[in-house]
Amino acid sequence: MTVTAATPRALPAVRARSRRPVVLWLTGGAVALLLFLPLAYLLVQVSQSGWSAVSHLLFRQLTLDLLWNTVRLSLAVTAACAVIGVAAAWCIERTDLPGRRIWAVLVVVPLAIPDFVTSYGWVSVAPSVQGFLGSLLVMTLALYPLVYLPVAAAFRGADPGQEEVAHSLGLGRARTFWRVTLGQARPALLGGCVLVSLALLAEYGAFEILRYNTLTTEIFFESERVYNIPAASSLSLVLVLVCFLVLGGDLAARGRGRVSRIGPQVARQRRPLRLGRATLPALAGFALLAGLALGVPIAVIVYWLFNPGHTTLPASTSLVSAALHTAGYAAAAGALATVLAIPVALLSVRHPRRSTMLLERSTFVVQALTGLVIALSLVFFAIRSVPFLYQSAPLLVVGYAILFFPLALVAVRTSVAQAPVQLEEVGRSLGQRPIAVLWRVVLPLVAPGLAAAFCLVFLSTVTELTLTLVMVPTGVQTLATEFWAYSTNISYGAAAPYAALMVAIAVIPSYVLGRWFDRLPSRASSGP
Amino acid sequence: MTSLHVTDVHKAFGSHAVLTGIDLTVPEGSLAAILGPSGSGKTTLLRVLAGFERADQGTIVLGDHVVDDGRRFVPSERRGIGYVPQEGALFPHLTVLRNVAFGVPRRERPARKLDELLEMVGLSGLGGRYPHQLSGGQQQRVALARALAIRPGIVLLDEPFSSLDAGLRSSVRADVQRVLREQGTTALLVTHDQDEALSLAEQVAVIRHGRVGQTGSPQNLYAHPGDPGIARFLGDANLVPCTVEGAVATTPFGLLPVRAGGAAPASRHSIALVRPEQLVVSIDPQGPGLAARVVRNQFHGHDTVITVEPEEPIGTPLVVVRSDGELDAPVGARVTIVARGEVVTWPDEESARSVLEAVEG
Repeated sequence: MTVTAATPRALPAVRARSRRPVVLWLTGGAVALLLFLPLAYLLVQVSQSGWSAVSHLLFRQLTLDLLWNTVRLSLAVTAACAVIGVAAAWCIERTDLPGRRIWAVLVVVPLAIPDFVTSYGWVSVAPSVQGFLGSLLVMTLALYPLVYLPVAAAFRGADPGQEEVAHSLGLGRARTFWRVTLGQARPALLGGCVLVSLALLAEYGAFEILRYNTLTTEIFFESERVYNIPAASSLSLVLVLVCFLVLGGDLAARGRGRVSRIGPQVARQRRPLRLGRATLPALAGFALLAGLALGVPIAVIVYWLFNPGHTTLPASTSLVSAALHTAGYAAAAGALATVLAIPVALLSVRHPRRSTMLLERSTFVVQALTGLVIALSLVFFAIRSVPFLYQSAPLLVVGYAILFFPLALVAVRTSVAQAPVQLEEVGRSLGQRPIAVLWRVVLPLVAPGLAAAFCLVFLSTVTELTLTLVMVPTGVQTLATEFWAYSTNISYGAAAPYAALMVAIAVIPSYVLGRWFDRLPSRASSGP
Repeated sequence: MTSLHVTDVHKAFGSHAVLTGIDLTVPEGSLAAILGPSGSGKTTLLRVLAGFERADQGTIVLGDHVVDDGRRFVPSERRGIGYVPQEGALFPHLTVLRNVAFGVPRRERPARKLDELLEMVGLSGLGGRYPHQLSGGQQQRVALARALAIRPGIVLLDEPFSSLDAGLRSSVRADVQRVLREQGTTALLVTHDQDEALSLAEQVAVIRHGRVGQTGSPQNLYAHPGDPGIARFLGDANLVPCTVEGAVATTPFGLLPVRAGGAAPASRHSIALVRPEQLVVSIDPQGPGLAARVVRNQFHGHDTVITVEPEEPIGTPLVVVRSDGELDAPVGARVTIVARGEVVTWPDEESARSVLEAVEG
């Protein structure tokens, strides 16, 4: 064309570039492969033991007993958590309960206390708390926030109009609660129950302290105490199958129903229900819950901190080095899990096709793998394929990152959705290079979510005991392993500082997370 | 400001061809509209012009720079195009003022008088607000100010008013038109709303199936649509069979003069366009003209739109009539219709017939 002949200013052109996200696909696929590694090596391990040996190990009374122990405790704890979680969420979100804001915090804080610390607290004051009933009590108190949090969020976000419509259609208060209010919270309740069941199936430390045998404690015993790898791996297979059943049951129960609100997302002010004469009993219930779930473990830690008794306090150097190791591993795991989640989240949010959805779903397979199963598989993988990584810090961090990948993905996905591609296009049309757009638009929008993902994994890593016990580099102590060493020797006084530090470190990211989740709805809402 | 020349632009997504040879010229300083139904490829065209997508084939020239000719490709950030997306797409983490200042280099910001720009779009004093504190109309104004702040050669607007409610739409529309005039910016607006295109733009290009069907001033397009499909798209239209001899068409409404300027040759089988406002209804069933029965009566305040069914078949099942003010013709009433003014005619060839059928269908 002749018009190009006289160009007063240069408009440099660029070469053709493919718009298909090849790099994203490659990295996303690599992440999926990494996440499948533990499951693959578990199967390799089982097949190496030979089918006859495995069937001999599986089809015996012990397996059945362990399965029964695990399943009945799971069902009981999940049911108890569902009742407590829904009741607490309903009182805080829907009634005029005095001090709702404070209760809303106190009810969640038990999440920051590791389950094995809670059980240590109970056992050290009441040694009779053990077995099935003791485990039911302690695990319910430790895990109910996993139901409370999603259900409270669902109650908060639900359309108040639906309840009004139900009343206008002639439903009374009780029937409206059953058919509409609970219906709105159903997916959240199911999700919370799945989290409780999976946490219970993965738990090792608390049951060791409470002297209750589950599949996980037995796997730990077989692999770490008597080194019976075929028994450990075949029981792991059973555990994984149970976890898959829980996840599959969740999928089936959700069905095709959709809970949504139609029309603009305007959060209408809802008039809280008046508790009236039920106020005092409700307050007493919350006080009891906070006292049992929070007061007991905290009080015990504080008591042992100031009354070390005949045991000597650990040397402060050991405390500091354990804290540094814990924080270092947790930071590395948080960073790695967040980075791994980015390509998967980008693919599923920016390129929503059936293939990318499938990739995203497949990464959730990790949810069926407990910390112990991942640890054992990775150790086996290291021994077989990469001996120089055996009992090394990098492998430990990879283990944490795999275990907590689903947590990171949820947070990263939310944050990537905060930065739609249109904003990048507008930024570029305003004369900004892609790198400047990344810096000025994408990063500010995505950063809070990435920080949340990091904190979520950090917090979980600090309080993770099982995987740490199996994979920690030889000679290295973390807060969790030191606490474990002292508390299993019944040196409760020596264990207390480690517990206190663990809780203190875990509380900071919890606070950051709470702030982030509080900010989310305000950003989405329109109007001042 | 600058002119825009688009020549034979093609764009396909996989096997799905969206643009199939777009030719378009927007003169310097003018406000043009691309009018097309949803799925006609108008948003894709805008995205290709903005540099968010590259053309598979064809040439795009801004002023005297080739920005895309299928081989060379100037990326969006070097085109100097102001882009106003459908929902505004303001940066949620920046205040109004920082949104507007986004594309302006820091040291040039004082000289650009961004406050004045805000004032011009009617947002003075709101510079410190965040986007979620603004109404939809205010967000659109900020998006326009942000695009104008970089002193673009041309502003592209992608259905900027479609997310606003009716009352707000007309005021924002008028303001946007005023601001673009004051700035003397070349602007290209994409819309599916014929009313918007006709009332706002100095030049309208009708786009169908990925190519430009007809271009012209709003008045010219409305008076001389290129084919029955475009006639239908630009407003309510009665398309009836007729025969043309010389400058006179014999229609079911009687003899009507054929509008000069049309290129329709004499033909026994033609199609005539009679706009609803050309028809006059008489509630006297014995009056002159075409006898019909009312099947629908919609009162709009400023006028009444009546749909009638002719008693004798005339080649179209229903006729739409627009009448000023109120008209006492209830459903079922027998009325007579008389036409006035000139008609546009097209030979009723296979193509015309198929277009007509497609429109009817």
